[in-house]
Amino acid sequence: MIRFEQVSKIYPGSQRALQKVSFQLEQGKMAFLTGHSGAGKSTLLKLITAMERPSDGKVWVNGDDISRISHRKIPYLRRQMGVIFQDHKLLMDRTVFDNVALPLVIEGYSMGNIKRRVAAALDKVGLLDKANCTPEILSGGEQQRVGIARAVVNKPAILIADEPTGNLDPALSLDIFRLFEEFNRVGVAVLIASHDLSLIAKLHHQRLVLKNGQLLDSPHQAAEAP
Amino acid sequence: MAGAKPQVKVALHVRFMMFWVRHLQQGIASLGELWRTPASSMLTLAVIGVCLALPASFYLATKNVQQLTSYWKSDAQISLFLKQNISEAQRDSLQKNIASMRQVASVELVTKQQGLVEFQENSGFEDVLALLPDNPLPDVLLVLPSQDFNSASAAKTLLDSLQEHSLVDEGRLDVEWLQRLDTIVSMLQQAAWLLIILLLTAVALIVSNTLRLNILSRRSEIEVMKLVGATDAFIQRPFLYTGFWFGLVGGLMAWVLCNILLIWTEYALQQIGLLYQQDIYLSGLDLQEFGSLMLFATLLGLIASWFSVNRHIKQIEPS
Repeated sequence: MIRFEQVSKIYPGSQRALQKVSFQLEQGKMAFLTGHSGAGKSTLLKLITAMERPSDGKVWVNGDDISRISHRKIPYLRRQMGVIFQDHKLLMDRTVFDNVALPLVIEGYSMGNIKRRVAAALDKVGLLDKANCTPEILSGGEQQRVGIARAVVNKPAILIADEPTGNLDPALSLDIFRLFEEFNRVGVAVLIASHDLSLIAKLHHQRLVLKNGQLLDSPHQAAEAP
Repeated sequence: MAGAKPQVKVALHVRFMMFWVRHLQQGIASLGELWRTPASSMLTLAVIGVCLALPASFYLATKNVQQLTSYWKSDAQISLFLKQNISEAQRDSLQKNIASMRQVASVELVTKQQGLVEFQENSGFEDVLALLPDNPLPDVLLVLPSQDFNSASAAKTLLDSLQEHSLVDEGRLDVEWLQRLDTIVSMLQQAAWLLIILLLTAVALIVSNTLRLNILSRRSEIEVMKLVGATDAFIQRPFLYTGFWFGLVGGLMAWVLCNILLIWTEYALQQIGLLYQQDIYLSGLDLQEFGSLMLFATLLGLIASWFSVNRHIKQIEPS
């Protein structure tokens, strides 16, 4: 699903964000990306979503080399994955329904199909009754779940999350992580960047640890959920 | 990890139909957007309307002047005064020669006798004329230029060539002042073209700047759309529709302004016309001209917005 091959990223100003990072996330697997802040977690995720391009090495997503992806192809790459952001990135002046429907509208789904899929996604995250609210009146945890519903609504094969529980209390965080595990169980590859080490320790998945832009040889934990 | 492409999730015909449904939605939505922010969009629309009304009313002015002068020019005739000592045979063959020229529609002969009778009737100089030993008037040929040669300058050229003839003493074009008018009009036209180009540039700049501000104010929304896989074309569309509406509604405004100006001018001219017992009617934009104004305004709005939107939406990238 996702493969990094000796990937380096150097930002202008000579700060080396990633150094010769290689790893692989296979189809249907779930992995955590950890490390102190500034270790390169965000950079790594940006390389997967083509918000940045690697300075060296190769990035493969869904079998495509996206290291030198052209501007025109980026939208089609992003449609293959659902991305969840720490700051949710919702449209505050639209309803929850419209927010979740956005990826489907962009892809040209028919109205009936959109209604059905959005309802299913909102149901999955437990927000079906909030479909006609604007995100403004929702709590942080609810907003994050709207973001998750938007990420999974077009059934992507890959789910990427950047600090999805950054602003949530531990109980809510665990709920969100369990939700990711559910998606993973139906075959979605999930990559979550988080510094919530205590929580990660409770869940048994592959761990990628970044330190100063380099990937440490992490204890490979069993990927299979019980 | 096989290189299998994800399956096409939406059938082609659904995609195609939804493409047009979205087009319609986005078009109507951007019109609604203009409606919801009346203060700022009305200001922009008013500026576009005024800027387009000026060239349009200038076009109307030249059109009406040309119509009026062509009406006068249809009377444009050349009077050829022939030499005194020519025979009737010479005179008749000259008339035939001139009548056969392709620049000439008709030639009418006013003999010296006819001229004398007319003069006696109209001038009140009968007694004086009776004292003269013989008729002092020459034979006159009244030459009417054909349709294609009745502009002031063409008639002048015709006059010059006719004057060359050995039997002709003198020729006169009654409408030489029209030539001067033509020159002035064409001079004004040159100046107006410059003005029009400046005004249209202003319209284009206003539209593209308004859209630039629109885009910047929705920056975060555009970033989100890019993040969930919207193509530039998809994001651009509502803004292009805004430009389209700016052009169309601005064009309509220009048309209304033009008509107000026209009615006003016509009223003023009719007051003058009353004094001369003449009805004066000005012609407005006909259906075809109205159509071209709308088409032009809309295209201008679209093209101006395309340049702005294309540039600014590319610049916004999620980070």
